[in-house]
Amino acid sequence: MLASFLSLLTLVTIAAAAFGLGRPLVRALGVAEEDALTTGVFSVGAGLIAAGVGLAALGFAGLLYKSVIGVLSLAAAFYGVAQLGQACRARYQTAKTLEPPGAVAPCAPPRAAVRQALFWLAATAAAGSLIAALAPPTAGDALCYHLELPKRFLLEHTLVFLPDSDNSTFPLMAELWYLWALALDGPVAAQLVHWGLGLLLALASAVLATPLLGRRWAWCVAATVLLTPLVSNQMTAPLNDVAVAVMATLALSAWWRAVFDHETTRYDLLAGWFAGGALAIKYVAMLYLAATAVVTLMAIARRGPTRAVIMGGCGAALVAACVCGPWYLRAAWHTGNPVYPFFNDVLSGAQPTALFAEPGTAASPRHLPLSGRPVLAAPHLAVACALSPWQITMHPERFGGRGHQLGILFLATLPGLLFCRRLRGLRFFLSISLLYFVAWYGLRPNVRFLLPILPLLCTGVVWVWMEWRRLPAGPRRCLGCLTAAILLVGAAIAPLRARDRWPVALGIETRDAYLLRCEPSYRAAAWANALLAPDDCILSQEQRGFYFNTRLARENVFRRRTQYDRRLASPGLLSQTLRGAGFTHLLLAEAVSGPVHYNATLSRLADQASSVRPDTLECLAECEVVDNEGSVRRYRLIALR
Amino acid sequence: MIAPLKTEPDERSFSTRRRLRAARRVIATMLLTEGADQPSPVARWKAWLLVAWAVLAVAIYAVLMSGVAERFGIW
Repeated sequence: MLASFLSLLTLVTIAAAAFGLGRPLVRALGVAEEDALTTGVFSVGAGLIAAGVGLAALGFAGLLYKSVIGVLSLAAAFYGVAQLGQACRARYQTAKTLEPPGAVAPCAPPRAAVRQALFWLAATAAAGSLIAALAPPTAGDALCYHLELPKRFLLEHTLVFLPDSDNSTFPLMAELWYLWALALDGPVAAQLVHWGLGLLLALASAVLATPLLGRRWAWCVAATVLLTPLVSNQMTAPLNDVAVAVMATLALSAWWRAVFDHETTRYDLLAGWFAGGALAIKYVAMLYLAATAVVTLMAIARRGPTRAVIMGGCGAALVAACVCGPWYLRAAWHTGNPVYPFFNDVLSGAQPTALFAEPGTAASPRHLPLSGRPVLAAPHLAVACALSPWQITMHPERFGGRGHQLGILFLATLPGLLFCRRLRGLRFFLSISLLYFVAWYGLRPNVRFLLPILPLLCTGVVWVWMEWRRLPAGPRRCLGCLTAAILLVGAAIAPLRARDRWPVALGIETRDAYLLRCEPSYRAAAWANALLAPDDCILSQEQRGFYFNTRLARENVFRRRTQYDRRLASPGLLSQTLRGAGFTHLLLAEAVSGPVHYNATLSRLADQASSVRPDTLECLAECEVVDNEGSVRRYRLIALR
Repeated sequence: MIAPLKTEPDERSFSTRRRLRAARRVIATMLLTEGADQPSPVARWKAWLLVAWAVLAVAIYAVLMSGVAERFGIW
């Protein structure tokens, strides 16, 4: 219980520090002063980016020490608390409310009962996600790189380049926030940061939707975001999809206010700051920002004047480039390709990199490479795109897994837009969504990557609800009941998914016991941590490296980089070759039963080497582990002699 | 005297702009006729079509997600 409390305290400290860093920035720009929600959300978002930039600067300077991060965090958090107190006092004196003065709803606000029901449903989903987030992380991608890389950076005190990790040259701002939490507490705090970002996404969606729907209905948008299964699932694992969605949503909110509300040109700069943050988190932000730019140009071409908007866009692009530029320069420096490994054949002249080349490997997502794959002809793409909303709703397992799904709400509700009146701004939002969706479908059709447009789709859903008052009573009641049932199920999913994590969240079960029960790589990591020295280096078939204290290289990436298996003259030379490459141990992983799959190259070579030269390989530990889905894996930890 | 060309953006403050917009809304409300905010109802058949679509989508989704379709080899 104490451990969970400390992790939550770390989250609060990080939030306070982010507010402390962001508030002066927002105040200096003179924007977002109209109401408490807008001020708070923009400040925390801007502060998170400032912290990410600061941590990156510390990383490039080789100063990533826990003590340095701790002192700076506490100073920023105390300043944030002081800022918050000052803001609360000022609001009390001027009697400002949460309702922005200019936001007028296009129709009467929702009934109090509806608002309260939505609030409690969203709170249930958030609480269920919180319970799950309080358990130690076991998500595959998180253990492969979202947490593994920041752990490595913290151990090395610098943003070290890891040639045997495809992900080490990605834009990594979200991972630096996890590094922040790892430095202050540990992996659970890092997971809670992503949970907190889920809440921030809901609040940012309310800020985004307010100019269109009014604040009361915008709260319904926020609740709808939290009730989407994709969001409540993402909030339980330290990935980066919610993080990029938050920054994209804040960028669009600021951009909307700059271009269409003509409030102040300095919103352009804030939009650029958030756009840079989104680009520093994940490549998919490029698609989102490109779609926004195209739709903005189309909109202002009809309305004019265009010059001010284009100048504002240039200013925003400059700020964005300053924020995200170091990450792309770093990738170009190490790999020759600023967006490595995408378009590798075009940008660096190398062979096309089949991303995550071993589909079905225990921790590798079944993504498609961006280049070198057959491209659908335009008519086929159009037909496939038109049918894809049905496909991604009914068969989410084909688009990244059932855990990451949008649910039925959007497919059931959004066709209602055909019967709705036009709403100022909604066409802008939906055009961005459509362009992004087509690009998403053509490039990387994984449902997780739809998160940036989720707030836009939720705005459309709420507008359909608002227009129900035009329906006859019978259909309106039917749709109301159906929607209530959908939202009820959406709220129940998160607590049900977290049902086996209550004991560890409440401290009844220890985190070690939970990991031994649920995370197969944890047992292998426990051996390695007990048997190996900190400067040893493991060549591993298991990619989940976070719980290993020693350095761990992924065998599949090392093999692709060096072709060591083909250059080996005899299996008996395996140990000598790998020792020459700097490795001291092997971690062999084999799937005994279940859907898990590991590439068997290293296991096969090790078995051959053992039969030819048994003195070169010594098996230190061996066991079979059953994970909580029933799959059985066999691990062998082998010393190279 | 010829008025100078306006090259700078409007310097009016943020709150002034908001107040101006609010004032425009008030005037627009005064000029609108009684009942102008009552939008026309949607035709009954369209409303039931929407209900039918939503019910169908939810039913198929429920069958697929509950595993019933897989168990009986329907889909």
